[in-house]
Amino acid sequence: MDDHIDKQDSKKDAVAEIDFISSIILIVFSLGIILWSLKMPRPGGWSSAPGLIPLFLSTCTFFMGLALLFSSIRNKGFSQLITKCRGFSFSQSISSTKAKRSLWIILLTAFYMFVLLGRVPFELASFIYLASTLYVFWRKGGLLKIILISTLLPFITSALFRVLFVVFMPGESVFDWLLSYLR
Amino acid sequence: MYSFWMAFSPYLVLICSAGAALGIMWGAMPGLSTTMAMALLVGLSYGMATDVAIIFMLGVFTGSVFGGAISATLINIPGTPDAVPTQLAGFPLAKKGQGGLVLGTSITASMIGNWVGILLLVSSVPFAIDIALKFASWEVGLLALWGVAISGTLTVREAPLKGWISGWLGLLIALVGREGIHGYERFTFGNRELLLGVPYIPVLIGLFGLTEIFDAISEPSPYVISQKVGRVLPPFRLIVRYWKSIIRSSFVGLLTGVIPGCGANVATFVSYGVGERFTKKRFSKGDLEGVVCSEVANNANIGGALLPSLVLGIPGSAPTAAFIAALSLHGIILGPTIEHEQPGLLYFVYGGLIIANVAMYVSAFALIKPSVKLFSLPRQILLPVVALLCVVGSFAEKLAMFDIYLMFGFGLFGYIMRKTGFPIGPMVLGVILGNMMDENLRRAMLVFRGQTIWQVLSRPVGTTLIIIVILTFISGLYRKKRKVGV
Repeated sequence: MDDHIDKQDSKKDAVAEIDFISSIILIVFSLGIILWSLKMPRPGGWSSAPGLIPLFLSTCTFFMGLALLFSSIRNKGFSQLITKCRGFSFSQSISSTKAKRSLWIILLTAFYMFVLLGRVPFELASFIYLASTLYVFWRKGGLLKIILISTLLPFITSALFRVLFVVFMPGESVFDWLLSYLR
Repeated sequence: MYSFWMAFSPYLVLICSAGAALGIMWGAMPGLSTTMAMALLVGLSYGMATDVAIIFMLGVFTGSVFGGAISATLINIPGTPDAVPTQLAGFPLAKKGQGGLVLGTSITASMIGNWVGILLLVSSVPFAIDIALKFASWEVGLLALWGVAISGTLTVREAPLKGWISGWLGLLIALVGREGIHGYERFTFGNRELLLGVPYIPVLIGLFGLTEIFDAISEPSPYVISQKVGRVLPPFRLIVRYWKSIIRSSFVGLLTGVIPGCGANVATFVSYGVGERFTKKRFSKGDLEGVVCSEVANNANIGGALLPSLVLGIPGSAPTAAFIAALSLHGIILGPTIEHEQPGLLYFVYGGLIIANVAMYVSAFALIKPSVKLFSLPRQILLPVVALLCVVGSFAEKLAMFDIYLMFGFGLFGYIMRKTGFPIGPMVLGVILGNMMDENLRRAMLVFRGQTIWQVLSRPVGTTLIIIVILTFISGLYRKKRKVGV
């Protein structure tokens, strides 16, 4: 029972710390938008000004940020954050399995979307992405299965969208060449 | 009546069934929305005979509206934006091994919603249009605001503040781009890609699709959806038990469909929210009644959206705008004189909707087992494959690489939001409704220029909506206070 209460308390503390940081970001962001909205031109007066709705929304966001800040301070978010910052170690924070897995999937996806797509044909880019992702996260599947899935699926996706749904793929596709050849 | 029975010819039934099955598959793919399907069909339908084009489009329309529920239930990624409430209520049940039953209930609810939509479409043409015409810019803007406020309260009941912040940020994101009244560029940072605004499809895919991929794969042992399909057809008494929700959601769906500009997104969120209030239940913990509320409204919205499209020539939603465009390519101009200029067309559409509804029901049940089997694959295999679909879904609308980058950015942002306890749903709704709210409220301000506050408040629908918005905020704050007190 005590253990359960301790767990709940630590979760509440963690939320309060995060809320403290989030509220500061929100307040700064909304202040920026308020200033920006005030600088926008008002060709037909305030009633139809382009900055009217952004001003209204960012003012609301500012007050919501303030409410979040007060609530996190009330839940000792600030003091917990200071304590945590003192004992913070970057290498320790990324050493957990979950953090490592998060980093891997984000980096692999970023590489696929920013580097591969649009530069190499869709099927090849997707093969590289799938093969590397499956290799990292599903090693027990075996290399043969990984290669088979990574080769077949991009072609199936491409065929389904390009031929059946008439949707273009990012970058060139093998089916673009095939369709232009058939025409 | 001859036109009505024409829709039941075997050839047209076959075409409609193919359209419904294609629509279901389309809707199930993350990011491929009903609007996109209908927009693509505008060009394709030109080569078809008029009756075939109408029937095929109605089949795809009905199928894809339901299809979004499949991926929403089984992989926690809504295929279409309006499937978000189905995802909230259905996915927790799918995790407990009831994916088949959730889908069966979704299909049945969709069919009931469709029937109600059709019946109300046929019977309430003059009445519904009369109500819809009371919604001018002011009322539509307030309705959008209420949609975001209610979704904020619903997704995080004990911390509504975070829900509202998420919704408000979504509304702000929607304001990026050239605004519609003076043509002024807002928050574009000189980026030409942002001139037309932030497209909501990549935002939706990023926030729901990529976020789910990042979150589920980062778990050392990701959750598994049971391969056992189990009972699919919901027990009759279950549907009977939810009769109040069915009737309520049907009216919400129909009415939001009739109001121009309010699509199925608003319908499902409002119906889900109103349902929670009436039943005093929390659907997001997993509840079939939540699925019923969302799916009935979603599908009743089809009939509702077709109402102003057919009778006034004003599209009730984006997919019906594509429907109107496709018909105009065939030389059919919809509007108040439709009965004189196109005698029998209305009856043919009624018949088509009935066929599409039955075809959707049969095709959807046939697709449940393969869908559950497919989506119960280990997450480590399934989710990277879903990433491919996310890429295609984001790219398909504008064929722009920028949309893929945007999707990635929002995926990362959604992941951070999830880790910090901010709900994603209200932000998506904010992005979808932001422009509608902005333009309508400012247009209303122009109309109200020179009027006193009492003149503005003398509009009954608008004033009722203002009271509802205020009550939504007050009830959220009250609930939070009560929770803190406990």
